[in-house]
Amino acid sequence: MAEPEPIRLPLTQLKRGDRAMVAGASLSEEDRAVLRAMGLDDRCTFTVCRASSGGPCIIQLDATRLGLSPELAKRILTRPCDCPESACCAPGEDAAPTSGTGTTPPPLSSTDHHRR
Amino acid sequence: MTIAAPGARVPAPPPSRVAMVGNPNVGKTSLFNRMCGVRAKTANFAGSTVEARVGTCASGGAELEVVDLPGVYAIDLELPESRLCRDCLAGRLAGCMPDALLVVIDATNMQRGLRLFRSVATSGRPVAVALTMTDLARARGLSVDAQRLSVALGVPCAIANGREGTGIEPLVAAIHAAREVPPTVVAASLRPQWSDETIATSIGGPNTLGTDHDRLTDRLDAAFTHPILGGVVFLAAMALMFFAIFRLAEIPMTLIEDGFAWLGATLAAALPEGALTSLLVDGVIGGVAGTVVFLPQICLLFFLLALLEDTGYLARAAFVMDRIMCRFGLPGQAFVPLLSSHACALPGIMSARLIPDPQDRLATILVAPFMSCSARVGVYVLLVTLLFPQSGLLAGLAFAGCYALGALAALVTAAIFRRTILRGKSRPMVLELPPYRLPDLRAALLSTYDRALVFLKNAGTVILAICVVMWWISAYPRAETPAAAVALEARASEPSTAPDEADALRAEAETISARAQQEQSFAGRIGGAMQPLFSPLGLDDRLTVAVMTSFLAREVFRSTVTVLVGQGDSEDDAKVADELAQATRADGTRLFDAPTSAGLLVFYVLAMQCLPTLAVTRRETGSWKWAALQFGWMSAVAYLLAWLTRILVIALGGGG
Repeated sequence: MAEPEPIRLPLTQLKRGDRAMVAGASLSEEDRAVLRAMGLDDRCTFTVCRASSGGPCIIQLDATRLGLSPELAKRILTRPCDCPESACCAPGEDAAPTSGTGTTPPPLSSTDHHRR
Repeated sequence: MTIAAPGARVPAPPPSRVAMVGNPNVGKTSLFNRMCGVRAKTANFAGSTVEARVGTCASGGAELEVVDLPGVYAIDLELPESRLCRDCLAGRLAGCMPDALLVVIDATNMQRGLRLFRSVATSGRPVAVALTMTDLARARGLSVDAQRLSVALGVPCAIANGREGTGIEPLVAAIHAAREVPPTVVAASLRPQWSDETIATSIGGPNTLGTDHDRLTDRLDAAFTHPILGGVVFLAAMALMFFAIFRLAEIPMTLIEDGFAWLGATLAAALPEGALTSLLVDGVIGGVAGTVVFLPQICLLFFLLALLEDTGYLARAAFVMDRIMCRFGLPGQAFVPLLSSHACALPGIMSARLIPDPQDRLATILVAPFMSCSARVGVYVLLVTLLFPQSGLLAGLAFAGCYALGALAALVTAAIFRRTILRGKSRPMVLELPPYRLPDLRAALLSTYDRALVFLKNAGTVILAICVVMWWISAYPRAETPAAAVALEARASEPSTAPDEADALRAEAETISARAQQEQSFAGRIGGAMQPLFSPLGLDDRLTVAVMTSFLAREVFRSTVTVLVGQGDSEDDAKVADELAQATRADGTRLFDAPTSAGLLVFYVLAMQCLPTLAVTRRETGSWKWAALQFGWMSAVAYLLAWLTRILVIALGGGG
């Protein structure tokens, strides 16, 4: 029996103070490359500093604060996690099970998988 | 400060030109300013809308040319700044072939910096590393060991602080010590764990990856990016900034005006009367003065913007405004250039460089001149007074309406352009929000100095050439002095004429002569020929000439119209308005009736009537094509809406 897919939420659905890690993005390769270069890479963990609520949201990524427009944030899928700040989330860990199905958005990175 | 040059490599001469590469907000420009000071200039490269700064550093004995490349997150992105860096690294930029590269890395964000180092090191050029923000790293409990980092990376590393000016000499020594990166280091850097291992060996402390908690930043961000409070703070900051610009610039602007007036008068008195004197006094000095007078406003604007940007606030403000601006296809950053254009479109267009996306930047540049600049104020006052001579309230509302109409036209035009000719995806709005900090005064002053030089260079070249051409078409062919003017001069010279009466007669003679010159000149003839085009707006040939000459610079409308229609220019607005209100057309109807005045007011709000602005648009976009589009679109919109306004006022019973 296949394991349940881990829950994935658009970044816009996270609340202030939530910790999550990136689990994919429905974006063009060009946009994904920009996000990767800014440090928002697959499975990197971040803290929500300002929840979206229809407007832009702010996340803290290590020592960097990034502001994301709502249009962009809703296309970034995340997996909520309980890992401590700046820790690494291995694939599947800290993820609650879900019954969600649907197409899997591509990861932000397809080649470079080293994560902290 | 620590320098290390591990391992003897192939001997090579010390580099004479180094290119600085780094992520945005790592303190790269502060370092550059410390290294080069005022010996730097902004360099634009052919085919690129992104600029780099080039300067000379005399520290460390030998002269070193330093190229400050724009901040990039990665050099392989399809973004203008990344392309510029790639071209520079590959030696494809004419006159900018670096002998060595200086990678500037923020010690609080090593992971990202190392990623950039890895891609830069593969270029095969000698590399040195500058570690910045080490004070911030220490404050967060991190210890930074440049020696160990140097060993791990295989290139010389130095800790430097551009804000405080510390570590500059060791940094220059590190650049001189830079040698080609051996392939083993490049190969090692490709291993997945390489950056983690490098950080682990060179950065120590309780939290080696920085901190996620900064309560003050959290609170400030909560306020500055709040949908309502953030907007209020932004409007207050902008109101304060513009109050400062208008208030503080007043005195130097008056001094510049007086200085040019004195220079013109001195030259006119010293040189024999003739074409050359007229060219120098009216064409060169008069024309350049009309542009250079805005220099204090431009300097203040860029100085205050640099301070605001340095505090970290501007990124938050752009974020707040993005909610509104994105509805019109513009990014949040476009608000600053558009607001700046209320002082003058020239600095507004120049400040559009804050916008990272080229399509967004272009759209902003194209619509910025719609915003009501200070040169329009005199025209608004005159036409609003003519339109509502009895009601101060209505006049005030109409005046405010001009500003609103200009802003609305800018936003609607942006929305149209972004859905048509500038269609295409904008860069996703993702901004790094830099830490809040006290602004660096020295960096702000140097940046202002740099902008002022660019502006003056423009005023001294393109704008000067335009002024000379415009002087020529207004001054030639020379008209003979009309008989009426000669008679008045003769009467004024009679001994029996009282001094006051003689002055009045001479002034009247001058007005008649100026009117004859305006009508006879090429500009006047062009105006006459264009009259049929403007007759639907209710303009006769005199008003058409006034409108046509305004295409050089709109502020000349008042002086031209008072010469052609009234009794000559005067400081007294009410007196000028009274005179113009009495003016009639050939058929005896009022020239400035309500439909004509309203249509003309709308025309002046929307028309592109500033050649220096077109010159700056060309410069910033790199093509006359965009300047031509700006001119054509604004003129067409102005004409159409002025005509519709006239029709509407007539339909509402406003006469005509």
